[in-house]
Amino acid sequence: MDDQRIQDDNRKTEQKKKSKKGRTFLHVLQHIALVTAVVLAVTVLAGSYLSLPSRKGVERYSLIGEDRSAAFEDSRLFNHLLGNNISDVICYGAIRSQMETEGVFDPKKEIDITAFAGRYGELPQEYITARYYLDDLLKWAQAGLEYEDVWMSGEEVNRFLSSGRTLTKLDPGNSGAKYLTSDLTGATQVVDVSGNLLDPSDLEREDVQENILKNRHRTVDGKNIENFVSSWEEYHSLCDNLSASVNDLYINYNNYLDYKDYFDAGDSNIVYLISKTIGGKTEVYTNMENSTGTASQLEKELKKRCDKYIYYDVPRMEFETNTMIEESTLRYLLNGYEYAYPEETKVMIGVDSSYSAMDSFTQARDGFGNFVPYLWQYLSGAVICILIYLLLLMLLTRQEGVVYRRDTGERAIALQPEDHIPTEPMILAGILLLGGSLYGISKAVNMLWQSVESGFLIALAGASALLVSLIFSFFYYSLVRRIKAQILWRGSLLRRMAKAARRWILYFFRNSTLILRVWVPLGVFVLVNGGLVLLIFCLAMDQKWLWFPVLLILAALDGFVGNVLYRSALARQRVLEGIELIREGNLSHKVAEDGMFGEDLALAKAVNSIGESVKNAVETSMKDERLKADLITNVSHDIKTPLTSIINYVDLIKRQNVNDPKIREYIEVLDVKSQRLKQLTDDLVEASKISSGNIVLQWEKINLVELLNQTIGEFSEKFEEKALFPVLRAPKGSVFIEADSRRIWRVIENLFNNILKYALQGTRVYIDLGFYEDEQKQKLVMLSIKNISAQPLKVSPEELTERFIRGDESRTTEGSGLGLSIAKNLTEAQKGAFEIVMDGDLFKVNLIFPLLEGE
Amino acid sequence: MTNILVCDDDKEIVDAIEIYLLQEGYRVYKAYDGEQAIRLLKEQNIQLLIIDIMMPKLDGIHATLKIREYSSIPIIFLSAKSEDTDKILGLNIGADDYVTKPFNPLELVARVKSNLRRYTQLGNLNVENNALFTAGGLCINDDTKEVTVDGESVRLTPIEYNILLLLVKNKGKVFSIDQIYENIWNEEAIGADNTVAVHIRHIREKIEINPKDPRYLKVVWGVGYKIEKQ
Repeated sequence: MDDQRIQDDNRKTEQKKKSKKGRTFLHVLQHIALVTAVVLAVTVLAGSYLSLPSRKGVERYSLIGEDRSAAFEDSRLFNHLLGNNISDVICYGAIRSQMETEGVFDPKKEIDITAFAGRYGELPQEYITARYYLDDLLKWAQAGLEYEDVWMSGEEVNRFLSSGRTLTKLDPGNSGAKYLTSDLTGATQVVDVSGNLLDPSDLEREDVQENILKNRHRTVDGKNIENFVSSWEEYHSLCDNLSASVNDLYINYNNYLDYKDYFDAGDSNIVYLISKTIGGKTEVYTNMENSTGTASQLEKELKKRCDKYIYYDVPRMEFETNTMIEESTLRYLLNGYEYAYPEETKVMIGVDSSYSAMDSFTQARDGFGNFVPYLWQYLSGAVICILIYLLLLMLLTRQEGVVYRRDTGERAIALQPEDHIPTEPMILAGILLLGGSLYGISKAVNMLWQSVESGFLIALAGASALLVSLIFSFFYYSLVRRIKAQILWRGSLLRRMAKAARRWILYFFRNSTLILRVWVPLGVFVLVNGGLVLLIFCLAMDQKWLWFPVLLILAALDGFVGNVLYRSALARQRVLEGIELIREGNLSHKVAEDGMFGEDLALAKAVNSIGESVKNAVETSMKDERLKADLITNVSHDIKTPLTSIINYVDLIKRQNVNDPKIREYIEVLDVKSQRLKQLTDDLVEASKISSGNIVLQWEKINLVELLNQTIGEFSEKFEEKALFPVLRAPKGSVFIEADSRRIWRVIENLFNNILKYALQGTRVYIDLGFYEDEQKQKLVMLSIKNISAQPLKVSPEELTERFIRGDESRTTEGSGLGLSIAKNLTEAQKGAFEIVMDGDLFKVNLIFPLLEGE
Repeated sequence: MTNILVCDDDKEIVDAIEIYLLQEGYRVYKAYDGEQAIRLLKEQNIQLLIIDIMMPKLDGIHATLKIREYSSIPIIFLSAKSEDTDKILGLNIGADDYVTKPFNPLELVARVKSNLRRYTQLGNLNVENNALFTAGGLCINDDTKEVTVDGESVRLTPIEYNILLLLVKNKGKVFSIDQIYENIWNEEAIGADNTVAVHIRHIREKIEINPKDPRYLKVVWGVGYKIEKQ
């Protein structure tokens, strides 16, 4: 047995350890789940944006919404990048046309400044211009154009400005042509218009103060601006053109350098091939290493290198692509640089399929490949982790702290050291720590979001999640344990404070005199009330609104005090009612203790406990009586069976003709005694039942006059035998009471039997029936039965109604001695009173019942 | 020859009853528990059963329940249990009479006779007579002014007869002393005394086997008298 128990204990301990280990494992798993979920979520967030280098700097692209089944080359991102690059290539091509001759940077390229400045529009047939070398203009731009204000007399002006204009005329065949055409040698012709062709007034110039350009560089033919113009108007116009050209070229030169780097073979996966033909001269721009082949050879090579490309042959309106780029886009782009692209332009741009250069395409391809195909895995992984976390949270919440006592196997809650920290600081610390770390993390994320590697960001997020998870678990499970162990409130500071306050107040009330107890609170109340009323008056004088809240406070205070008084009065009333009810015999009544406090509660508790003990005492005694009655009933059954045989055989002996008078006398004794024994057992059962309250009464309207007449009729012959003369003195008509018919008969029968046994022969038996009223004006019926005792009465009336007590203590006469006892108990059971009066030899029994009125 | 089965676990009681019944000329079979009684009932032609309630093996109540499934012979319970509830239970489950121990042997014999008469004679009594009033085994023929109890003639005085007739004619109704007086004497009852009660007691002594425990003429104490509706 003992071994078995020890084994059991061991097994339990083992189980406990196992379950504890298991729980720790689940806790760790919970943290892992949250960290994983956060890491996955941040991965999605970080991976969904790609920061890609572009010519303009770092650009961010979103990967959300990409078709995960599509290849990178078919993604929106790829086409977006391609579009941007095409735009750049077109732009680069235009700039190259400004900077290069035959595909090579040409510093000595001549720039027609008027045509250049007006390159977006259309040139007039004749215009004034000047031609500078490209490098001069760029150098000028670096140095800056400078002007000075000069006062000139008319003559000086005449000397300064040319006397004639130099017009540049476009060839008639180039009508409607643009800037491009001006670039062509032989496309223009320069015409000097002599002064005499001018209005003579033009030569008489006025003295002026003019803004004159400092000529840092000269034109290709060694002239200055003023040499081409004949008026200030033309001078300033040409100066403006020069200024615009210088600025634009400078900007474009920088862009040219940028683009050159950007699109240099090996730096970009973009392969482009632009060929344009102006005036029969074909220029080819490309970044292909081998650019010597014919156009069609180059095109073939490009197609070979690039799976994705566009091909646009402008004059033939041929557009070919396997990308999402549309012809309209390309046309639009080309139209933007109309001045650089003549009708005869072919554009072919592709992306090198080998991705040999580390450019935006390669990075985008890597980012895309790392993210898009796994997006759903990441997301569902995160969701599953969250679900696992929540599931574990529920499971662990249910399990948290639960242990089973080793000895009894009882369920209990194991507390941790931190659970004994008062609740409020614990919750506050939890909120502060959790909130603080969340706030800090969000700040850090906001700051670092744009600037750090996504890997670092993910690691940071994971670490943060772990921190938050640890903090949350620490406080959350502590709260769970508290709630389970029901110490959430018990361990709170608020409760301690409330208890302390309560203790102080109770201390005050217990240990102070009644006067102090009544007068001090009243004094405080009156003072506070008065003070507040005064305050209201003061405030009402100068502040219009402040008095109102104070009034509310006053009302609340008075309401509270009133409530306390009311509740106290109510409690007293309840206690009084309870005492009254208990006094009336409703022993199971309990004074409701809810809402009581202080002395009233103590009072109520005392009353309840008194009621309880009385109830218990009564119940115990009732139970004892009932047990006794049951015992007597059972014993009497057991007596009756042998008694039956005795009676039967005595009777049988009597039937044998016994002649011996002595034996006949003995048999007579046996007969009488056995009959008495029978009577005794019956009475005993009945008496015990009545006194234990084990009878059920059937209430009826009983006419006492009828009952007495019936009884006297029944007993008439017996009275005659004993020479007793019953005298009934009753009111005419009926006298009704409420009683159980058979039980009230039993009372009267017992009394009459008593008379038959003990009354003096030859006397009268008076049976009187009368009414009277008691103090409560209740009408009562009194039945008196009087007789003269044959023997002197030696016992007290009380003893007579005690069981087994009879008038004669010798106990030799007939009867069980229970007759009067049964009569008394039955009378009382029927709400009557039973009293015995003895006066000398006069024996009187009074039965008093409430009169049943109404009929 | 009438066969009576007596069943009680107390052998002496059975023997005593046997003596009384033999004196009356009945043949007696004896059983000492319920199972024996049932077996004897099946084997022999029994006309009446006297059975104790508290017995080993099978008690009287259950034995009676079984017997009543196939037989309607008179059954008299003999028991030390004298409570009203015991009597009511016994009569409700199919007993015809209930005698409490210790019993008066003569009363038991009288009850046996009475039950047998009712079972054997009254069962086939089929008279269509307007002047015939019955209540259980009590029968009044107003034509011949003859009163019989279980077939045995009873002699009553004219006043007793009239009182009994009044009560039998109004079975179940309770008559007070005054009402009986006014009905029989045809004059107003002024302070009626115990005359009627004495007459009633005399009637009871004549028609009842045990006047203290009447079957027909019941006293409703404090209210009046009635003949039980049966």
